[in-house]
Amino acid sequence: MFKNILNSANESNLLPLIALVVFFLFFSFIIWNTYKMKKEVADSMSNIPLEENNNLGEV
Amino acid sequence: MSETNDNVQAKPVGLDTFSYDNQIVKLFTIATVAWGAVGMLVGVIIAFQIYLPDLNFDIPWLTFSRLRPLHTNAVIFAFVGNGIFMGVYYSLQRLLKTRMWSDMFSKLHFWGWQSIIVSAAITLPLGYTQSKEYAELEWPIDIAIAVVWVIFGINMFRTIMARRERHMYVAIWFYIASWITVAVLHIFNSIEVPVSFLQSYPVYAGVQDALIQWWYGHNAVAFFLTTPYLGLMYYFMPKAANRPVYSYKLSIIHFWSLIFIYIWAGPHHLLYTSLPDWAQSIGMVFSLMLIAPSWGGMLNGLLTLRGAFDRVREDPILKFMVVAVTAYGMATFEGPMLSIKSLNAITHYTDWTIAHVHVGALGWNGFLTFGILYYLVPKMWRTTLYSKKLATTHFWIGMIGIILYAIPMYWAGITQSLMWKQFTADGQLLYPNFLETVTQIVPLYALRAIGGTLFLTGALIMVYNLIKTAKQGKFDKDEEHQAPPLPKKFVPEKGEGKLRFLERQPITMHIGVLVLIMIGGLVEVIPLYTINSNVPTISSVKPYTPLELEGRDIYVREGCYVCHSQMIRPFRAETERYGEYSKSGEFVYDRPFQWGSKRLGPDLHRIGGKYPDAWHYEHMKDPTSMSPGSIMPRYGWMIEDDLDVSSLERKIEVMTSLGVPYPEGYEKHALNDLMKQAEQIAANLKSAGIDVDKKKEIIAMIAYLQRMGIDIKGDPKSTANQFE
Repeated sequence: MFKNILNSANESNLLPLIALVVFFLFFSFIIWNTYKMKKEVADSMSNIPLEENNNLGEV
Repeated sequence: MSETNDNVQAKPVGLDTFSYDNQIVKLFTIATVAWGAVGMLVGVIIAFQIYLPDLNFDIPWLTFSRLRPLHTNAVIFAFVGNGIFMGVYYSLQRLLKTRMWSDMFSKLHFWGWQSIIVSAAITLPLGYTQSKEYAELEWPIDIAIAVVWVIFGINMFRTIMARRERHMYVAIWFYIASWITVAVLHIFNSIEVPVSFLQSYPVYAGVQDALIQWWYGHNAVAFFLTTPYLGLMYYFMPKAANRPVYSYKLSIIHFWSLIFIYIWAGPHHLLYTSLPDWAQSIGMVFSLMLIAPSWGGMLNGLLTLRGAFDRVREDPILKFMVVAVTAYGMATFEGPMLSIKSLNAITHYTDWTIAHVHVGALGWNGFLTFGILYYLVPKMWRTTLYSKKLATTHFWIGMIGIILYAIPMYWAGITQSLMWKQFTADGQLLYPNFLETVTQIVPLYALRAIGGTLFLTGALIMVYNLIKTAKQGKFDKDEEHQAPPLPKKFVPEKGEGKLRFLERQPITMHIGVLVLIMIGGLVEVIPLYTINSNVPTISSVKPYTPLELEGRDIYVREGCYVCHSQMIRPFRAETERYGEYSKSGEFVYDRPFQWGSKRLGPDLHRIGGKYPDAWHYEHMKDPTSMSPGSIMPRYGWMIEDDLDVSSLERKIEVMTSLGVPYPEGYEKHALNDLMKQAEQIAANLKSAGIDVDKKKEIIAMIAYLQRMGIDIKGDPKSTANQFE
């Protein structure tokens, strides 16, 4: 049935609109979650690459 | 699996002692350097061949159109590919505080990947190609790529599962997204039916083939040349600058928005073609949106150096990295601009595209790889860089090389475009002979070749510097490290948010990334297959005759698409020059599609019937005899070599199985029809005073060229009518 609906569709102009709405919702979700992230958490994450400086193999 | 915890003498309480596998990083480092030199050398060779056709030496496997795919594949998959693996194997172990899960898988990955590269280096010059840009390799190699990619993925995933760091740093997200997306792209774009051991036809045809290919092609740039390198940037820039990334929050937004948007942008490679307008619009809009996350990432990289910009003056590693990230910013601003239809109308098919691509490839990928190499080699060999001075010299030679490459190509692109579109006051094309628009830019090609040579020279200086560095140091094969084990119990913080949760859930993250990229892919691809109105059929368009089909395969083998498009866009300048604009229904039997992406020669979609057979014969034998001043190579071997019809029956069978409406059992009669048509063409040539055996390849080539674009003209003499 789904294929028949698509086959008989004359316009595909709705697709870009759907795409933008999907992206807007997703982007809002990301922004909100990032905004809520605590600064200490972000700082600790950003320091991960530098933590190994204390390892045994570093020159 | 291969942790080396056993021989530890003094184990501090609460700490695991283990070692990082530097051997695999060393192997990929050597491969990056060696293949980089090869890929750049081939680039320099073709840069000279492009305007000095005698440098093709009339040798098939040394001809520009066969070497150009070798150059792109070598640079993308051999140089950058090995560079990715080098950086990933180094950083992943350290970010997760664990050794790679399996040394054996690491080695399988390495040797498998090198075997694929060698296979490509042999098959592409020999003409075994699918002719899809960056996906030229034939089906057995496609399968090998998939297998090796899975080996890499399993090793990476199992390493993530065995980590000692609870949260996955943002670089790892980029690695995960790259792995998943490349797998999806490669599998979907490589669905083909074998005809013989080294030939196949794609299941997609015409417009659909074009969309799938550029969905792949664009995202190969996105998820092979960009996202893994962003992961490397997020690891190696903070390391080189010895300060944390400017904004971790920004990196989160950068990652999620980039991978979501990138996958939609493929159709911007097909603007003003026969692709349905809605798909073009999606490609354009999402390409424009890409500026935001791309520049977010670029600024995040550059601002990581806040307070350390003075070190850029002294430190060649930082110099390379700063220019790399700046080039990333330039390319990711220019890319969306080129996706605006009105600007694309000017730039597409011109050398502007080549300039754009090389700002990204030389600047972003090249310079970041060089920076990482200069960082890694002294670290792994436990020494200091042999010569900072040489590295700085490399930097400046490379910079001048990029400038000397890019500026002439922008200049050439604009010149071409203006000349193609220029009309006289009487409304005639000012430059009706395409060749005029080529000879005009030859000096710019010469400059570009010098730029490329300089870039290669810089890379060779680096090779010397790195070898000397390695020789003065001592390689640390299994670098010891200590870290506390990961506690089994973990109580998440209240209200930590969904993203924080995802950062420590690799399986969920893999699935999330897969879902995100599939949304964009499916919304673009499925309607093109299911909505009939997207590819209106044209009743007069019929399948190729057996001889034309064989001729088309030779066209593909020789890589004619490298210089000639088969897509007349609906602009007056193009319809005046080439004829009626191309329609989607004309390509329904084209497997693979041959629209091309660059015009070094004229568009060929309406070449059929434009010249007599004898013209094509002489032109293939020596292009300058028909077009004085032409820079097209000679294809004399088509006149010497017999047409191989041993696979004809299978070709017709495969085409029939893919829906091409040949009459039932036609494969048994195809050879007869082929010989009849060949006799006719041989007779035409004889009447023009050219005596050539009907069994020669040139006959099939002429048959195909004469068929192109004539079906919609309703020519009663068209060979298409034989299937009425």
